[in-house]
Amino acid sequence: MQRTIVLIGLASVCFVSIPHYSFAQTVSGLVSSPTIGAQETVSYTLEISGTNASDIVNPSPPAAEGLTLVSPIASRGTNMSIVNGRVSRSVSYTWHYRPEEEGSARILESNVTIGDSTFHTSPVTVTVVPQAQRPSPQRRSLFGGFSLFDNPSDVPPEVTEQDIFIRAIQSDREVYLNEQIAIDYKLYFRPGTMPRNSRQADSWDAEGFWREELDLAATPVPSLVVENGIRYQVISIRRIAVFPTRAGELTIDPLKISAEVQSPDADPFNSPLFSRRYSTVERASPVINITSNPLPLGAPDKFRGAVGQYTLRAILSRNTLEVGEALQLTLTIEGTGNIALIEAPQPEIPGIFEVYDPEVSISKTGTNALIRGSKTFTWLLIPRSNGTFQIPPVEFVYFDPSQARYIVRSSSLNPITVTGTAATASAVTVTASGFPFDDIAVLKRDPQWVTATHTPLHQGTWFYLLLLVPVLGVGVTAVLRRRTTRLATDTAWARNQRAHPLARKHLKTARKRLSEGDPDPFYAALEQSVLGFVGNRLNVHERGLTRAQLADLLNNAGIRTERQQELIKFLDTCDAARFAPTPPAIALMEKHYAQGSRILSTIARELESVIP
Amino acid sequence: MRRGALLLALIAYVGLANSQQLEDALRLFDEANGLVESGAYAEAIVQYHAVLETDFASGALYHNLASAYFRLDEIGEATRYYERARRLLGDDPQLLHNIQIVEAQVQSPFSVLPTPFWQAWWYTLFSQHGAWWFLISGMCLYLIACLLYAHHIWSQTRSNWHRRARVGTLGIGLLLLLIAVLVSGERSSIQGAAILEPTTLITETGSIDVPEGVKVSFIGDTELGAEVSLPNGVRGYVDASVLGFF
Repeated sequence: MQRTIVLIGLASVCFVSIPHYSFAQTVSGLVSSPTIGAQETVSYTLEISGTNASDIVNPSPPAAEGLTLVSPIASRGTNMSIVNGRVSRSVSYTWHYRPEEEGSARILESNVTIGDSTFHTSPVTVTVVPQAQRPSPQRRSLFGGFSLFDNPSDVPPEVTEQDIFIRAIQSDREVYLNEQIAIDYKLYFRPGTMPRNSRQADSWDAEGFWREELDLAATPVPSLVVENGIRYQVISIRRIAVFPTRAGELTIDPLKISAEVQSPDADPFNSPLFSRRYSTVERASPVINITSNPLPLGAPDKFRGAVGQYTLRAILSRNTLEVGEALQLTLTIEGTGNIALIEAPQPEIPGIFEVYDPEVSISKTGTNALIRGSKTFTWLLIPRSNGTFQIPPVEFVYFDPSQARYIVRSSSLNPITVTGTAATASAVTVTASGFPFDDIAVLKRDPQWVTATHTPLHQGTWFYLLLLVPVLGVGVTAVLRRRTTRLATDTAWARNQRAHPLARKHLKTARKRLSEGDPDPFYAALEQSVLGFVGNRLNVHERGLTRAQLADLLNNAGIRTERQQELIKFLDTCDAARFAPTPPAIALMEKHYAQGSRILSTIARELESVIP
Repeated sequence: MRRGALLLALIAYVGLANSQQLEDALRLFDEANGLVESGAYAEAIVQYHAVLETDFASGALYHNLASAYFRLDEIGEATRYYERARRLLGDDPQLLHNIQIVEAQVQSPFSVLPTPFWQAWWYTLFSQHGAWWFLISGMCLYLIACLLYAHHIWSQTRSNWHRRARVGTLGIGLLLLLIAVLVSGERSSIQGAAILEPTTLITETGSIDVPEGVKVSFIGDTELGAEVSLPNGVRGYVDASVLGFF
């Protein structure tokens, strides 16, 4: 009785715990092998899952090209499985086809009606090869190596590119510089291949890209897909996000892996009763080509290269504090893109604050299709005097590739009120010289101007003039000294040098006396002017010189006779006028003055040619 | 008479124009200092550069400009202008303090070769006294020497003391003038530069990463780029655009 109760209990538990059915209806057409010999048959299975068999209208066998249906009656099978609490049920219909000739053959699409809905499968291509070239026969060994087949060779069945391969699925082919591209490397393998011990076979590089690894499931669950009529299990083996760091055509190397696999047909039951023979295969993904376009022109000044979609948040840890206390300014940039390379925005912090370098923290997640996360910059600010201060809104500029334009995010901050006095706060933070202990002393007030465009001394003309003038002064001194010495020692030269100035001096005196109307001194000065000049030039004392002596001297000096006579006559005229009982008229005196000047210049000219 | 009046008018005009420029420079300088105090460093930098365009400069101007760059974390530019200020201010304590702070931020990975004693002497000499001091001193002695020579020529003095005074003042005067020329050339010559942004120095044996703010000696422009010498004496080539000459 007790046993019965236990069984009923177990049955109840099973019944109650049977989860809901999966109602996602899928229809797929599968072939037993994509390549067959000309004398073999290929089976085509129409697999319908996610529905009850009673809902399915019996399907007709699909038409074929190059293949002949062996029998229109399908062999029907049902299957039910429970995975992770989910029940899946499938119904399959299988027909067999015989090839008509070697070459490519097709099984066309099949139509299935489930309830009110009609589903279609994709056509499947089958390659028919000569019988001798057909794929290796399927062998199974039972009980530790006993073969059911006649072929005793121990060659493992061949694993083809169709049995296992890698695909690289990229989010985009043409992007902007530094825009994110997600690449998902998926391993496709037929259910029987059972890959194990897979590892990367060669180095992998993506030159010209910044790379970030995206997360993979710790225990990947293969998904089932049907490709060209063949059922594959698919798992992601590597997921990365790449960001082009330069513009142009860029290439990402193939990802190569090696793995140990079984032939897909070796053990369809995966039974431990059958021997498992693994062979090592290498597979590589295709090369990925990406076009990286430069960012459009016209970037705002504050743009520092961030590309993606971001938000900006600015927070002050407090808005009221004392002088010398600290507060934190935190900027958080969050979004999708290359978080690691985002540069800190530059908040315009009033100079009254002592600012320390920001602490930077990064949080990234790559569990979704793209890298997203946040980067936080935290500045420590210490006010050095009181007052109310406003930090202008902080701006962060990025390029949004989805909108193809630059976006400016701005975040405002509340004013900061600082109380207290600066003296007590700064007393502990200054050096003995009075400068801030670990900061610069910002301003100097006294400009003491100089010219900004500095010309070195050796390129300035005035410098050489300054040097030259004293030397010239010394030279002039030497010349004057020599002249003075000669004047003192060489009488003839001295008189000769003085002749002209003295003559001019006497003429000037005569002119003065003429203007005063005083004839005696006028004629004395006029006579002295002419006679003194001749005496000085000929180095004789003119006083007491007779007319005859004067004539001899002039004659010796080479003065023409008529000039001599004119001079002597003029001197006589002067004497006569000087001692005349009635003073001469002013007009006559002026005439004599002019005559004296003319004679003086004539005699001077003639003596110049004789006595230089 | 008329020529003299014209000359006086010209001198007065030049003097007035000069004083107007000086007033403008002082006004811009004060405005820029106010911007620094309010934390508007980028605007202050623009204003300081506007002062330099008036053809006036000063050690304090370069000092404050460097401080504004420092506040914007542009260590290379800060180094450059502090060094320019050093040429005019010499061993000013505030300037030396600020240079120490900037050098602490540069974190140069290069050791510094010891300065030869003659270079240290020379630097001390011209940092203590500017070219004008040497020029005026030298010119005074030179003039005295010329006067002594003129006196000797005029009076025919044969005294030994007179001869020694002549030769001594002339020699010292010419030496001071020579120093003035060298100091003046020192200010206008390009010998040093600050690295304005992190760069790579290409040497014959490889490449070296040079951080921003490192002071290098400029050797000359070549086809490979600007040839510079690092503080540790290693020579190489960098892109001339990363050099901020001082």
